[in-house]
Amino acid sequence: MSILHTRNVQKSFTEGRESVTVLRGIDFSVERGEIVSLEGPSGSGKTTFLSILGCILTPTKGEVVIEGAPVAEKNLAAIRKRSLGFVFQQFNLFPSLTALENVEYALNVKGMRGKNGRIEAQRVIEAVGLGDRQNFLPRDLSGGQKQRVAIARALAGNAPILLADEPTANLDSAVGTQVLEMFRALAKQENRALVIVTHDPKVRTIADRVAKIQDGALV
Amino acid sequence: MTRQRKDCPRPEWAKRSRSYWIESTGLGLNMYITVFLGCLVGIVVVAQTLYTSTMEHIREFGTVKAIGGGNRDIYLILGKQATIAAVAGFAVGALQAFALRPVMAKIDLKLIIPTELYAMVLVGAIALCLSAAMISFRKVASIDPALVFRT
Repeated sequence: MSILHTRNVQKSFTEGRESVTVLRGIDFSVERGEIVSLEGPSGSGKTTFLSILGCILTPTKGEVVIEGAPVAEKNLAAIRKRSLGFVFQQFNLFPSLTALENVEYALNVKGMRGKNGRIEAQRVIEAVGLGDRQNFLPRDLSGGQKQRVAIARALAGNAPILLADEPTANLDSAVGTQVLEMFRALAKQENRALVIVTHDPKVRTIADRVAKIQDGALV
Repeated sequence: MTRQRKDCPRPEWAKRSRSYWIESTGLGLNMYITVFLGCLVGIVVVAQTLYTSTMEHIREFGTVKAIGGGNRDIYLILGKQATIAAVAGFAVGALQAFALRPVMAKIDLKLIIPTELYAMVLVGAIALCLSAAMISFRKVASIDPALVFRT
């Protein structure tokens, strides 16, 4: 059974007097432990679709079901907190917090505080190979290390679905490959569903499935 | 000042004297206006500083929302910043007032600052700084977490 699926998801935005349709009825699903690469040209609606999968936007029409429950406008933040982990293109780490604190803060937001939060943060920081740099601030880490912290933050708290937006866009090729391989290994090991929106052909090599989106529809 | 009447007890005489200076000479009004202006300027400066800081960190607040945090989580951060500003401001002010006491004594003025006044000023400063944070609260309430996907 899929951990996340969408039925006929449509999304339109109003620009001035005009309505622009970005997504035109997408049916999509992903299972636990599955890695999907979501590809498409710029402006195809990938990021809008990822935002809908991530409960950041709601569809104009259609339905998103996460862990068997339909997503409703009123519980978006609660679902993000409970079921989703994000990795962003720009890393989006908190600059004044160390690597460990970045992860720990995300756990605090998810309701895991105190000693349990610290233990879980240390577990995932070590899992991404940054145990020796856990007390470094983001400015003292390389791009690849920052993305590892971002991955640790997404993994922390056992969210069953991980969503990544162009995770290798700001990394050089070799580092990007290392980060992707590590991301794949951890997602598989912990049986998480992983959806990666990307332009990077390397992502195909770690994905179980490639979904292509063009002009707002899966092709 | 009028001379103390022999049939008026000392505390009563002190109270009457204070009332005279505060209510009949305009000194009280001046003091109230000074305090009011101090509070007003304080609120404006703290509000502006917090708002600028909020705008500089808007992406981080968006990230907090994207990872599942609510407005409450961000209000806590802003509230903490406002409280730190209040306590730091209070500490500087209280130290200055404390340091002024020997100077005032040299010109035969006794500067009396009761503990209750210190407590009142601290509570007041925290309340004013938290009110100053309201503009930032309103701003973060409207942050769209989707901004985390914008490059």
